[in-house]
Amino acid sequence: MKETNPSHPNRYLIRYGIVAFFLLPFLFFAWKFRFQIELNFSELWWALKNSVYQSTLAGFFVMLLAVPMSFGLASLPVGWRLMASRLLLLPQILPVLFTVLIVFTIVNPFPMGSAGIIILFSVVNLGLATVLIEQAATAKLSSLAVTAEVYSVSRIKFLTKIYFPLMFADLMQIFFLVFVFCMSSFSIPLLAGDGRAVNLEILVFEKVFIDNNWAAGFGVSLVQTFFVFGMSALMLESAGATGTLTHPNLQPSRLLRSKNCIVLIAAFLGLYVTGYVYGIAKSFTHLNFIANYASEILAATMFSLKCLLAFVFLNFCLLYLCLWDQIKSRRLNPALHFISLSTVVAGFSVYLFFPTSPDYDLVKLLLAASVLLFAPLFKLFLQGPIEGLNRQLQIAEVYGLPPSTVIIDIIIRQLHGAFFLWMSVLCVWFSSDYAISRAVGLQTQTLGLVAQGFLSSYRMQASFLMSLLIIIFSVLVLIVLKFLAKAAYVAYKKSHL
Amino acid sequence: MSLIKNLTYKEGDFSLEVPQLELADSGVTSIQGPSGSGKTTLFNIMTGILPLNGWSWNFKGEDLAKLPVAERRLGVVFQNYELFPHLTAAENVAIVASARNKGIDAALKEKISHYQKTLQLEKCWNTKAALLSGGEKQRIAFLRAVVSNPRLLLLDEPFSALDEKLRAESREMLRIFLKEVSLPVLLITHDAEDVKALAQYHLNIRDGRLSSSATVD
Repeated sequence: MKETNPSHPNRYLIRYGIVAFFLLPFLFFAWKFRFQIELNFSELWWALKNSVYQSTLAGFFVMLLAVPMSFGLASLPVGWRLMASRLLLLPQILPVLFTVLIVFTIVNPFPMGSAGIIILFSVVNLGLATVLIEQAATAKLSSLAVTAEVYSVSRIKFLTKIYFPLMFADLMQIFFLVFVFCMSSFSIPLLAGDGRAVNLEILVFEKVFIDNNWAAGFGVSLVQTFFVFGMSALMLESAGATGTLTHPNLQPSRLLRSKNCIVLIAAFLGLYVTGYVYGIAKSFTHLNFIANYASEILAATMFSLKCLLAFVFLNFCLLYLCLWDQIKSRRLNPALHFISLSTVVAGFSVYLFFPTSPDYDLVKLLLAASVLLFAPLFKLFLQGPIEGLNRQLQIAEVYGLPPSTVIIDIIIRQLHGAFFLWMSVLCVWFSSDYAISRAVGLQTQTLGLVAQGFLSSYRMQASFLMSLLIIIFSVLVLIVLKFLAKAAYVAYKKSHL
Repeated sequence: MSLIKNLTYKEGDFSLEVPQLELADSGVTSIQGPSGSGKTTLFNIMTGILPLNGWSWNFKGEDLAKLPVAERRLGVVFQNYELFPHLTAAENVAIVASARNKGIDAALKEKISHYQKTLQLEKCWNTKAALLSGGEKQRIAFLRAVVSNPRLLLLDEPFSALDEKLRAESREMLRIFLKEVSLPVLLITHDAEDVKALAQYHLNIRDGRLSSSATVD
């Protein structure tokens, strides 16, 4: 049923070139160890048990709270609902470092180990799950809820006979989404775990970097990858059917709303936002302490700036190629489904590939961060809006518009807001990263590594100040990038007049 | 005369079977049928939006069915016109004209300007498509299709988005416009009035089967 396109023989080269780029670290890892696998089953069982236990409990707690919170979200007037939805996504959008700092401030003393990991996983995913459940319920059940309300169906009957049976597939999908996120997370267990809470990702890290037992690291990473992909497949399998979308300005039926549940949202957002503001306010007393590290921080800022500009450029090139491929083949590049890759495996593979010298730090970080961050951020911010333009892309194809025109004049021109958001998160995530930097064995300090260093040595106030510096740094870079993007667009338009 | 052969498409219980379909080299050929009869499926297959193997469309010695969507070079007016909403009327026309003609030369500029007047589009020329009225959108969609250097115009229910009064005016305007552009046209519609006002050749479609053609006037 598929057509070939003789006018673009490079199409497959680009398509599979992108896939190869994203798989390269993993293929290199496998090749390097000649597929030698060593497994210590008792150790593996212990880490797998921890991973599954932490992920399942986090998923369970998230679902337990997110369902009532979605009723609260639906109760808010349209403008407030939009704002609350955006705020609820903050823990997922902001780097893990911020959430860790906030939770460490609120939950004091913090229970390191599995309990702490579960708390952090739950906080990071709760808002996202709430928004997804609210959207799914509104899309699927709006008209049914109105009908049930007209016929005076009680809330209990509505929940048991209509809501849960029809939403089961969606709820399972969201549960698996949280589960997969937790299974593949490295940054949270790295900060909040202890000896007893080692999960698969930490076990890979320990095998590789501490024991130098690479065959064992490879074996555990295979099990981890198998698990993550298996769960991702289950997640796709349980994807709920889409319902009829209703007008976003309409208030959902009373049966899908609960004013009492607004309290949960207010409490969650209040704790999250005030936790950060309180932490920052308190940390200003430590300005003198951080001044002792001025030269290190300045060096880290300069290195982070260099890395960030190169990273944004590389990601724009990847984005352009992915969009080109999507336009030509009418489907998403397969590499964009690689959303939960192992940070440790990707990082360590890049670490081995290049010589151990600070001269290669930039390229190591760029490669590993692009492989790990590009696909999830594309999925989170761009896939949906681009899919919304599918019909326009078809029309553009019928009229033979060149891909560059489609990308710039149809996609970017309409979705510049989504692209800016994508770029913003890309900048903030990259600037505050410490997990990937650790996994690639970076020898030069970045802003994220300095912040993590303070946090690991229990200098939380200094870490808070670093997080503020990261925000200011990212905002300044974004302003420059926005200006450059505008200038580039004006130049493009002039050259096409 | 262009000739479509062996077009078979199945989806669930529905099947579209077109063993042979002749389309005239000039004038308007219409295919009329009720909802669910397979009109839009046929339209999507012809444009290439719905990929299908195993059929042929011989157009002056070239098999359009084997060509990628862009190279079929069809002028298409979709049911909801499908203008790019963020572009102005002028940009909607220019982006397509430029892509299909490898730039816009003086002659093409002249042609666009002429049709702009014929279709009374001066007032809304610099308005974003999202803000145009139904009638304006329709006229821009016709102009976009005509300046795309097409072999054939394909019109899918071009009047269905308009109210009754505007439909009659639009049919008349399109009749005059099509006479002027003298391109072969395939009109797909459910409305017998469209057929009466525009078509020279006519076919019916029911349950995915075409009836034999007959001349309307």
